Amino acid sequence: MLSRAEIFEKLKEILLFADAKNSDLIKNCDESTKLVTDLGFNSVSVLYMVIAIEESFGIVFDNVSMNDFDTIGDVVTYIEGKLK
Amino acid sequence: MQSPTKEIFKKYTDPEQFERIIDYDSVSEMWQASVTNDPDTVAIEDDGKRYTYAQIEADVSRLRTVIKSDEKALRVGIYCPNSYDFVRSFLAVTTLGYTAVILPAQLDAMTVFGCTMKYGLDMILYHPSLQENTAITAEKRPDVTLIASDTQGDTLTEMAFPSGDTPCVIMFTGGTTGKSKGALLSNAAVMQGTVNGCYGYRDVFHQRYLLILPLSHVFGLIRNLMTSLYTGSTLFICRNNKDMFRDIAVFRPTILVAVPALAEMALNLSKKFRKNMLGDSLKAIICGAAAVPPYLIKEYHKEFGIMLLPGYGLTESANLVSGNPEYLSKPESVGLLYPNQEYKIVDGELLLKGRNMMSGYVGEEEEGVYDEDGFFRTGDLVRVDDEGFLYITGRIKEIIVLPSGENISPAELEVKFLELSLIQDAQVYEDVTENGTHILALEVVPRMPEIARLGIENIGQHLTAALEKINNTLPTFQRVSRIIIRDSDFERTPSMKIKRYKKC
Repeated sequence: MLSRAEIFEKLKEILLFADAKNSDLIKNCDESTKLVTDLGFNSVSVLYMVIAIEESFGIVFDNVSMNDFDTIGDVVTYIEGKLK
Repeated sequence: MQSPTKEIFKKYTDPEQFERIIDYDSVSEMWQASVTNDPDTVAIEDDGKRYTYAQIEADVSRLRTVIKSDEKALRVGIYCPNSYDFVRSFLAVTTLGYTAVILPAQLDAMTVFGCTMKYGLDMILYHPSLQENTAITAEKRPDVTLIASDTQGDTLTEMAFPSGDTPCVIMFTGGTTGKSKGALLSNAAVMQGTVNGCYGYRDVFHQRYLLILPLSHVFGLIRNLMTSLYTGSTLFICRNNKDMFRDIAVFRPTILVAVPALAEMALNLSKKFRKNMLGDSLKAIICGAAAVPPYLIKEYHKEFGIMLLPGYGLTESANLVSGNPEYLSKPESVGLLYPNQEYKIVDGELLLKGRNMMSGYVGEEEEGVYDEDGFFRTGDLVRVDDEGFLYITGRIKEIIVLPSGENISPAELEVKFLELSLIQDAQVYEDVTENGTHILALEVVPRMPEIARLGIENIGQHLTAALEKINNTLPTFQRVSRIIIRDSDFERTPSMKIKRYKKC
């Protein structure tokens, strides 16, 4: 079972790939960083992130709206819940 | 000028299949031919169920009975998300010779009500999941019949065969001026748009299509759904785009219709996970609705041997105006004009007339929409090369007029800078310096995976030097005076297009 910190690091790596244009911001992000307002995520980068998380963590997202994820911490919590 | 005849596309298609590409006057004629030719072929896969052409026609004929029981139903709103119900409703309405008004599933209750007024709807076929949003219409317009899209009639009603000029569908469009309008397309226009999707590649009939675009968009409705039904193919409806790769693994599509942003996402994911996420069966990606970067065309060919075919179209032209079968040798082009069109280029702007063109905007002033000869003004600036290939060089409303009087098309310049594979997006705009001088400026978003792959360290310095090199090849008046390398994406419109700066 991955720790929360390990999930966060793995997620950061995915975010770098999902929206590499914001690499400096993502490298310095923390759990309170907001996906849309801080990182400028759009519908395609969010889709990219979800698919990459599913591939990397071996989990399947429910039909949640991406509005459910405000911050990176919210995504970490969701992955943590799915891995339990 | 007359567009080429279909013979120009002959060499790209299997000869036997090319002979089968024929023009129909109405959706009914096409649908009858598909049901007759391929009754037992699966036409639609949706939500775990498969529907053959014959089964769908039986199902559609029962829905025709329900629609026809309301004698006033001439304009019928279709308010369904991507689903089998959408397909069934669209076919039932159009094969009765009635007009389908496509209401995007994201419309709220007040907007749905507004559409009943603006477009004079007599009936709405709504998906049960959207029933709540018909409440205002039910209250304020009791004369509009509301029917759930899964309703079945007890008896069968045959299709009608309207003439080609009979209205078929009203689609929403931003128009060429950015204001939302309803473009009315005749049966002949829809059929020309449908058949245009058959030109320029080898295997046309009996393909496997995946639907990820909204059916409320002309690219989804005509190029994806209608061309699939025309060719006796199978269409798999992907209900949620996040599941598209799982759906691809199961369904194994041969053709994907996609916007460039999705095609690029699939490419990057494939590189990250070192496997072709689009599956080994995929032969072609039909790409449009936004400018297609030549980089994508080359990468798909190099990495997976997949044809990425760029095209150009408008809602007002029933989708496709041109498509590019010479995608490798002319990746910057949107291709050859499809048959049955007339065109002219006036001050660089493309004007169109032809079988595929809309009958007009519903309930809107027509001033400025057409020229004195009845040609539709596309608002797109183009050039055509010696072999008849079309290139989009900009949009009229984006033109920058410099104090010197020279006209600059930002898109034309951006294409030059985007030839650099290290650049993902670019925007050229007019700015004013502190001392009041008007200059051209360039902002770019780096393509980071490519930069990482090449191990480039000082990104700003490297990119600026590469961009300067391109800049110096341009005529003096087109050269940019300032280059900015961004570390975040541009602000975008809801349809993912870059929001253009207006600094002057």
